[in-house]
Amino acid sequence: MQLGRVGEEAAVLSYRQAGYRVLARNWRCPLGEIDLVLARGKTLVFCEVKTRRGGAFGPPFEAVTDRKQRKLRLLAEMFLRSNATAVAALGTDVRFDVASVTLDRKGRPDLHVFEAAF
Amino acid sequence: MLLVGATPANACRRCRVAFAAMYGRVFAVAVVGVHGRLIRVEAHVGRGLPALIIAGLPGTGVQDARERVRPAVESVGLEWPLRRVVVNLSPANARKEGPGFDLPIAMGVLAASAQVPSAPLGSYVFAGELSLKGELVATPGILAVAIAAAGARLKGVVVPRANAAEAALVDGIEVIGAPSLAEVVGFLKRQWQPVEPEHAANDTGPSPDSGQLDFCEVRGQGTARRALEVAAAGGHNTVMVGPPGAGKTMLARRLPTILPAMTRAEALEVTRLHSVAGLLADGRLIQDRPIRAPHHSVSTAGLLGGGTGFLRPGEVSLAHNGVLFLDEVTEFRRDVLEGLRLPLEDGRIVITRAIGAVEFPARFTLVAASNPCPCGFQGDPRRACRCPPARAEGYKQRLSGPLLDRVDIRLTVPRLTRAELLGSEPGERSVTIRARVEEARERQRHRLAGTPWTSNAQMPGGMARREARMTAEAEECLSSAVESFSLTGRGFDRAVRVARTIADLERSDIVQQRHMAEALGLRTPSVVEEMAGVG
Repeated sequence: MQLGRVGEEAAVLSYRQAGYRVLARNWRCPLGEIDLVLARGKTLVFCEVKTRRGGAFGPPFEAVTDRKQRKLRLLAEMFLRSNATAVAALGTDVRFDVASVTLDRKGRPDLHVFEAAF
Repeated sequence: MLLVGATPANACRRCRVAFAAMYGRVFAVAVVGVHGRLIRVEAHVGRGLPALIIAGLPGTGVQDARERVRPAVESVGLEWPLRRVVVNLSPANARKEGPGFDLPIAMGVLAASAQVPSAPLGSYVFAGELSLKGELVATPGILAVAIAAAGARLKGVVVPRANAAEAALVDGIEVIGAPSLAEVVGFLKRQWQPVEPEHAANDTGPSPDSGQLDFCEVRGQGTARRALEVAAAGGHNTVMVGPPGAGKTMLARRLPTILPAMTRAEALEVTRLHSVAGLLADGRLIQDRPIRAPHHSVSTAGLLGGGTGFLRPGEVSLAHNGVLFLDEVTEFRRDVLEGLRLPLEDGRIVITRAIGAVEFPARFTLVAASNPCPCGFQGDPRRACRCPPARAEGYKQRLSGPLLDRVDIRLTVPRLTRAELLGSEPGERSVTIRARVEEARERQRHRLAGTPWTSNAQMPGGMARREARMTAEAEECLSSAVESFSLTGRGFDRAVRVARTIADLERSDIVQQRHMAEALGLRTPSVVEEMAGVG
């Protein structure tokens, strides 16, 4: 399994345990890709998952730069537009999370979710 | 709430800290000029990507704290919250400067992440720069911080141990001098107690052999010695003109040794200014009157105070309550010297920036020295001056101007004769002269009680004329000087002030003819010789 895939699996598992429904995984549009779209209650969550092997080069969340954050906002807008009717039924609150996953030597994921990261 | 679901299964091992409290508040002090202003440092640990944001007009020095605080906290074994940390400095309308904000910011964050008990935090002011290892480094301006804390009726100050003695100069406040962040946390958890900084050592009077300089080391130069005694007694600004090597610098350096001892309030003022400038090495009260001798290449900011960001006091303020000695005064840039007007008039300097005006005290006795001409030998009986007349004239022009408006005593310091160099017996000791000076000052204080002034030099012209109480002969002597030396109105007032001081030195309530004659002799070099016959 690919590195990013392992991280996403870990994040999905954690969100499901917390009572979230997964609306989309790796949603694509011409501008790019959203890793996870989830929902709980009337909150819609866009989640960027970052995975790294080991901590030698700093924690994974540091890779979510200002530029990437702006891009995610844009992508979220695209998602909301293309799924307008379905989203309207769901609710109003939108949140951006960053799931930061570090794999240890044996490949076990260590997950840290930053809610409302930006 | 940190983690989704926050179940033990997915708890992150880097964030075991329980986030019961999310908000912390501690007190800090921003130093503006020499005054401390109480600042509330709020910290909030909230959702979002890990970051440290400092709001509330932090100056560049305070912004720098962002890079230091986290490594310092982690170095001493505490947790830095892996969340979005917002620090706010309130009130937000004034810019906060200085490195002293490291400690309060760290304490705010530790309080917001419930790593220190928040109850005792409200009674202390925290100040100090942190190293990346978490040590507390000696920080400028701690005395001003302690004074502000005492003024706000807080219980104590937590400062670097290197600054503890300095903070202890302030009465009625508990001083906790800590070597590092770990001890500060320990103190708040009642696990660590500071060693008492020694109070007693600071409260002794001025050391009897303050400095090693003494007037008895000056050979000859009787007139100059007498002139400086008068200058010290009345606080008169003085210009010395003489050839190189005549002893102008030697004389000026000894002026502080005959000035009256500083009161505790004056000493605290001087100490506070040096503390803000970062020039207080050992944290002791400065008891000797300062003398500052800036080089003639000094910039306006260096002389008057300023700089980008944190405004430092300049030489005029470091000379506060002491002596400002400008050697080779003609070599100073004219625009720099112009800036001396306000301090010479008001005893303070105001530095105005876009963000606001900052005031520093700057009441000093000015001593300026200069050669008589570019080559230095004009008027020398044994060596001819080789300067072209035009250049010599231009040189004199530079000596006049705005500065000399505020100078009461102008004296010539001639080259010593061989007999004087070899033969003369040692002069009076500084202690003896100082005793006379103190007495003369006391008479002035008594006479000027109820006015904003304390010395003859500070009196405005009209008042000087009223206070002088001259005999008829003294008045006649003065009026003849007005005619024969074409004394200006300002020169007139100056002669009266200096005569008043000379009378004070003689414990005389009335200015007599000989006082006036001597005063006129101290006015212009050319008068000195002519008056010698009269007086």
